Amino acid sequence: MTLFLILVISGLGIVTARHEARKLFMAQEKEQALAKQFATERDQLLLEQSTLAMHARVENIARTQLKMVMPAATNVLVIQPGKIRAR
Amino acid sequence: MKLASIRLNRAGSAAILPAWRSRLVLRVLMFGLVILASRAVYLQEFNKDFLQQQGELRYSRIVEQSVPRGSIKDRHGEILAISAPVKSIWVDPQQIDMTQQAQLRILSEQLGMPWAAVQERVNSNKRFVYLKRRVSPSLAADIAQLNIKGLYFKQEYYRYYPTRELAAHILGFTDIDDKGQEGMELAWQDSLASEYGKRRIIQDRLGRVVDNVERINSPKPGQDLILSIDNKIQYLAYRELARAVKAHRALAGSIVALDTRTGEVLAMANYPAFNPNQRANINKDAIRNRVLVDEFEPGSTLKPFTVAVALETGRVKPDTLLETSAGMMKIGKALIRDVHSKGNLTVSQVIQTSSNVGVAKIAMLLPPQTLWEMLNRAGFGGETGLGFPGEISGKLRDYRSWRPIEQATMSYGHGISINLMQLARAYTLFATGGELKPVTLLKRDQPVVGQRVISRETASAINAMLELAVEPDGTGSRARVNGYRVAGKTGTAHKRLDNQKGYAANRYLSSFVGYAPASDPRVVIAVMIDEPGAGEHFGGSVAAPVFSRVMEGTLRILDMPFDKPWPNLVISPSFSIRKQEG
Repeated sequence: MTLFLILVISGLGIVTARHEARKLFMAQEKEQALAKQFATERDQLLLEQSTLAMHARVENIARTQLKMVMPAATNVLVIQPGKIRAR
Repeated sequence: MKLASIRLNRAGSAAILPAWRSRLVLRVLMFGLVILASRAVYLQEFNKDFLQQQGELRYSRIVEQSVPRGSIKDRHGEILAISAPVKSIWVDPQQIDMTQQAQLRILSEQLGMPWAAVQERVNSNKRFVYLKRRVSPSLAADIAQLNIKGLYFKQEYYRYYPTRELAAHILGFTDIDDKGQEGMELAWQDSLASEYGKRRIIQDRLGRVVDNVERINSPKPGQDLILSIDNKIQYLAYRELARAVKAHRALAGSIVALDTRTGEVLAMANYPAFNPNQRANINKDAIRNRVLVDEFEPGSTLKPFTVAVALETGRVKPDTLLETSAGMMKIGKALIRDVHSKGNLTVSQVIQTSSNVGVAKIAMLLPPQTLWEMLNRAGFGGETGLGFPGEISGKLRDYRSWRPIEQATMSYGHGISINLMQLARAYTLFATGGELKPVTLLKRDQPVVGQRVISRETASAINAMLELAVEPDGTGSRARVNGYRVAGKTGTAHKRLDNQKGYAANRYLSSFVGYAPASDPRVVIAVMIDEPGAGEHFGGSVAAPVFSRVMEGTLRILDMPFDKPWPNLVISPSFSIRKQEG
């Protein structure tokens, strides 16, 4: 009789453990799916970023919309830290 | 009591029924039993696999875990190639319900596929048919809303190249199954490729995954590839090259930039190029990475090597005077001439004015074997070790088969064919004080020790001559860069006729190879323009300006200190502050 009781209890134990395990597994699975979704989103954003940051596009905007120009070599002054201190 | 009597009555009447009736019932029952038994046997024995599989399908499933191919990045981590997630749509035609025709018609519209094509695929008798591969995730979500039975999605990746044609020749591209077809995508296929994982799971009634049964194989994401390319320099090089090829109405052009300290390829571009994002209409001719897979006769850019070996063996000194005033020289029946005769020249002036006669005279002082060894050790006729698919090693013929005229022409770069990368690499000799640096397309970052080919003294003597060639009265004066000392050499070679017999009179290859800053060289750039057709054809007027503009930008990007003073209009802020204080 005691043996039978133990059997029943352990049987129920297995069932609950199994159920819990599956519940946890599902939760994990859900998080993993989320992680994957974020990774996908990240890839797409990276792609968007690299498309927007294309040098040709940046240069075009800088030159035409923002009217930026490259300083001519004669307008560049090289500052050498050592020399300033020496003077 | 009444009930019992009736029963008795019935039993009594059964006794007088004919015997065939009971036999008939028995037979009918037996027949039914046989049918049931044979059905059981049929199901058990012949259909077992199918049924078990069907049962398992209800709860167990093998799912594929897709992982992307590795991306390719430039030396600063900017993306050059990336696998963007997309969905491929497939159908199980056996499960398609033709009562959902309305939905299927919407599907064909959304996919932009003709109705007939959809019908054909849906009516196939296979169990797996792709309807359309690689649709955008948003379109896939719309289609999922249609709830079509037997329609499934598979996660796949589409290779996308944000820099478009800029680095197309270096990167190459992949085919529909994500396998590298050209360039680095092909060369590094093994490490870039990802392996999809597979696992068996148990699903519940609602399709949720409830248990992991086994991992059949674990997913292996592709490894990222970091190239030595600097995206900014690459852009600059491509832009200037494209501009020059168009302006000179040339057939094509190539450019390559090397870091002299590390041997890294900073930029490598060709024009015409192709857009690797639109793989359907790629022109076979535009795919070729001319820097590596095309060989050409370099012309005058090879002269410094002849002079270098003559200096090395002590046959001449930089100020040795040569008799070149005739402007021509006869070897056997052949005649070598200069474009303009400039009187007798010193060895330095031979390089500065690019005199064919002068360099041929120097070459004739040397035994063929010595000249051959020099060219061979400078890396001509050998592979560059980049591991780039389809790379050509050029042709440097064995010195034992040289005739005197060939030795003379070889000294100024005819009768030998090389690729542009070899030429750029060979110039690291003069830029690094005599070392041939091993080149790489992968990020290296650390300076490498090259193989010593010529002595430091010879290298610095050639360095001085190459600097003269870029002076205002040298052939490469248009290669000058404000604020930096530049050394380099022009090349103008006649193209070989298509039948390889002799040279075309008016088809040229214009080139320029050089490096800067000459006081402590950092970058070697080689430019080659194929058949400029707008009047100018000299390397000094076609290729040198491209060199100058790309070099100027590259040195700025690399933050190289100036090594040459030049007038500047800005007054030092520290100077004016000091004045106020005083």
